[in-house]
Amino acid sequence: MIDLITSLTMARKLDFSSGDIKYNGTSLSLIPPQVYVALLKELRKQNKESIIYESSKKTSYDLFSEIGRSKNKTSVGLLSELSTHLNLLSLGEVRLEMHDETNNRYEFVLANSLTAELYGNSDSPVDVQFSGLLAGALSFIASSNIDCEEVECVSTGSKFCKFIASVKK
Amino acid sequence: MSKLFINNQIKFRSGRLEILGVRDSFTPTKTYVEILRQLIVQKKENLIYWSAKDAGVMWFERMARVFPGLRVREAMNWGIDFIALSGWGSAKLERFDIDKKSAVFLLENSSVVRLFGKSDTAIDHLFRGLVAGALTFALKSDIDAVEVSCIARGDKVCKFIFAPKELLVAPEKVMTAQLSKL
Repeated sequence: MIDLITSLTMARKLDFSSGDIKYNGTSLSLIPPQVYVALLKELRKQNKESIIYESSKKTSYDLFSEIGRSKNKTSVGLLSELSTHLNLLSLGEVRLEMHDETNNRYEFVLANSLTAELYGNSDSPVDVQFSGLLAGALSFIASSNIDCEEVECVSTGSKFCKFIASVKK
Repeated sequence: MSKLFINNQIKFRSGRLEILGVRDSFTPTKTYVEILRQLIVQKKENLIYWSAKDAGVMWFERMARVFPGLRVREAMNWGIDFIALSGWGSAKLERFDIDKKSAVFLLENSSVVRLFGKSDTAIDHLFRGLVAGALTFALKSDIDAVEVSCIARGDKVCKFIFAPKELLVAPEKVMTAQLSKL
């Protein structure tokens, strides 16, 4: 991963300058995770966590479209790189478990979820941001409006965090 | 950033980022801005300040453990560098009075302001809280902060005053708006 950071920085795809972090043109920030979790809990109380999902989805779509454009990559090529790019955000380690090409359906697992680690016990899955990031990335890759749902979560007592993504009905 | 790498205090591996031995992560700034917008509508944006202040205290506690013997000015320089690394903008220390436990910071190129657009109120609550927390630890005194001018409001600069609450000099409206607890 450290080689990835170095190579991305040298290629100016990851840019730390003038107090800004840009990853393929997308602005990123190091928000203290405990601050993010406090904000997530407040938005959940207001039933407004979809704001995080929708914003993450849009940003991820834009990010992957820039990656695809700058690398002149096919969707197959981008799908194989998706985990690498999302792992860089450091919310945990993601891997693609299943891809049903016929039905445009995907299953992902997120190991060592940072959000779940800090959130603690919950009645419902907590990786809202990660769900949105996956949905946006896959929407670009599949050229379809894909939505993603976290169906298992460490915060609810599952062994790992699992996501199902498919075309929005 | 290079100082942290050289001292082996920033590590990336398998979807896991650690800075000073504690996990951290990158958030698209736009997502944070949308959260901020919603909290402003609900008049709960100070949640950001208070939780960021706690985070700032913790961050400096960590730094003091990893680099024991760090002097206050050195710690503040590290803090300024870290803010730049974190993508919130470039912090500049305009004034610092260690006896009065007060400081004035400017924040240039605020990424939050750039993405938020126009606002009726100051919006750099994350920066305000984190630095208040950092100074609380460094000066061993409960330090609070107000943002007295903000580019999002049409001001020329984002300017912050830090001091113990009873010594903060700012319009009453600003003090009430920015330091009220939830």
